[in-house]
Amino acid sequence: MKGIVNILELLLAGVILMLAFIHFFPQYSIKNQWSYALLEVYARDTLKTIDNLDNTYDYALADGVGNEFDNFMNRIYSIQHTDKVFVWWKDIENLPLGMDSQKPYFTEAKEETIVDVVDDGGTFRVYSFTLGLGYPY
Amino acid sequence: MKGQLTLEYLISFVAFIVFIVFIYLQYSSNIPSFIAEASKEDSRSKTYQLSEILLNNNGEPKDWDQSNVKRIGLSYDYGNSNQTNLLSLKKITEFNTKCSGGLNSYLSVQEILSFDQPFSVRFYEITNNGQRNIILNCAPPASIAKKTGMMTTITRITAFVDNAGVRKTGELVVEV
Repeated sequence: MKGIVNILELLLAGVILMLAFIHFFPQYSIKNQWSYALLEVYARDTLKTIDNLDNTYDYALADGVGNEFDNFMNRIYSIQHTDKVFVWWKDIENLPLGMDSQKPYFTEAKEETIVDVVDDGGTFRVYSFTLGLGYPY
Repeated sequence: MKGQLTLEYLISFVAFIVFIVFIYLQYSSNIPSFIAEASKEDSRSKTYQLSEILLNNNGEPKDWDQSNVKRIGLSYDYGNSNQTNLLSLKKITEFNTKCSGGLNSYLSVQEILSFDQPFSVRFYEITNNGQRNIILNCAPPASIAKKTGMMTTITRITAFVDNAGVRKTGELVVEV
């Protein structure tokens, strides 16, 4: 058994070293928020573009399958051109004729809101158009 | 035999060294991925900045053309108001012309944009059936592009005003 103590000491020192390293240097993992930031940029750009095309009010009223809003979004975010799958929805507030769309299931999404003014029978009505954009997977 | 190493001591010593080397390699293996990620982060930041200045800046002078341009910005000059995500087709085509003369033209654009690495800018008109018609293509010549691969792509959805004053939908694609 002579000398076996050295090996036992080695094993003990090894275990202590390993525990010390795990404690002081935890496993690093690289995370970034790029995909979330991209979604935010997409949602904001899309909303601004809708507004620049003077379609905010029309899209706020759009309803049903294949409506103008969905057609626009399908043109922009088709899988064929983006190589990604997107889901979207809209939420209109303070506009009696405004139509919300059903919020789909998503894994990551971002909402952006724009405030618009419309002449509603001689009085100005301020309403908001919220666009949600996300990834379903 | 006094003063000589025992076999057990030798085994312990070698095993200990192997153990230390193993720990070192485990931790040092993270370093290349950290460096790559830092480089990507830098690339993402530059891509976004370039897309933002092209999208939301008039350029210098405001009504620049390829003969007098000091800073390239594609934003439509809407008087004093600051309308974002609205580009001018005239400026887009000027940019395309300025960049389409081969390596020297590309490098002059790179200099105007104060960019120290290859980049690519494309602009597409999105038609009513969703097709993309390319209007602007400013990409590095193959000799430059091969040396450093593009790492980040950002697509910006925008409206643009054509030469007849009609507003249309487009997308700006920037790669760095």
